[in-house]
Amino acid sequence: MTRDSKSLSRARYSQFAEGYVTSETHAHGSDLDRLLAIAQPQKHWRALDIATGGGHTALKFAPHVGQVVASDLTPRMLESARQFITGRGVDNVSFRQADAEDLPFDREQFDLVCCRIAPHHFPDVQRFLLECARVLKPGGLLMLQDHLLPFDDQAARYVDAFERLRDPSHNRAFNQAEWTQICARAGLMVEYSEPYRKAHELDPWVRRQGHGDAMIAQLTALMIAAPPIARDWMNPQRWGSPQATFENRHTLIRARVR
Amino acid sequence: MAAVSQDLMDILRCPVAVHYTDKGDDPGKLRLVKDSWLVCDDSGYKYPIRDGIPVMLVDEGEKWQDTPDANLPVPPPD
Repeated sequence: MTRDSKSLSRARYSQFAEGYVTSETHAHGSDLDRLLAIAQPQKHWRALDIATGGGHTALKFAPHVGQVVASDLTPRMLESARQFITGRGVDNVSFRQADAEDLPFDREQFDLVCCRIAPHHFPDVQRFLLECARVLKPGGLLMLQDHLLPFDDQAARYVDAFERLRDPSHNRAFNQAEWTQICARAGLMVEYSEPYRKAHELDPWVRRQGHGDAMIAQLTALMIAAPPIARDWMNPQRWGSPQATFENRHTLIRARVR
Repeated sequence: MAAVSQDLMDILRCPVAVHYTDKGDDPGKLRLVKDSWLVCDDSGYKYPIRDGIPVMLVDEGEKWQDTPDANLPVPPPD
């Protein structure tokens, strides 16, 4: 599954790279401000932004640290991110094509590792977290943001299935207790977490992944058939209309190497 | 400008060999070849630098493992 799943991510995000650079959701989220506020980065820090995507997290942190290394699995995403960041006159960000589960860095090199809205794509999140712990300096910080699932198993599976239908490279998300547990297994102590709700308009959210009306109809039907806990979790509004919206629940996590 | 700055070379490692336990205290070091390749002598993996971006993927490094340094193409092919 590993290679196939990563190839799928690479293929899909090569195709949609530019859409993620210009996406309002990814570029201007107040969640980015929250990540920055929670991390409280220092000017002398060296930071790594894993799965940088459109480069928004790297760009946000760049003025607040000494140096950012931005990595992604997908060369076209990296190229888009590089154009986006250097086009804004930022010169302390460098780029590496790298796999989140096989980081190409010596141990204990980074004060901060960030990964925003990406681990749900990774085939082996535990291995990713072990790699984060390895490259962080003692006492270094991991800032994570990703999809959050409800504690109810059936509802959790349904929410994941809703996401995966639109984006087959969505592997799986976790609930908060699972996040705390897998971080701890990697030697990362979750010091702080907060929930975040990210609203999406269904139509552009679907089309950003290259789908059309048929996918909107399928997702509309899936939401209507959802168990109550899953439906409450996704909070659909004006469902069935062209203005339909729903919510992703996210978690923002600050974890420290023990 | 060098393809990879020295301070970033200092922290960059082969993602495979960095986990080796029988290659001393600092396994996975890389050397720059032809200003276009990062070569790891511990694993033999060779990583291309494409458009100024090092491609540090295991499957990419493995692909060039048996190619001698002298035969590495410049620029690295896509």
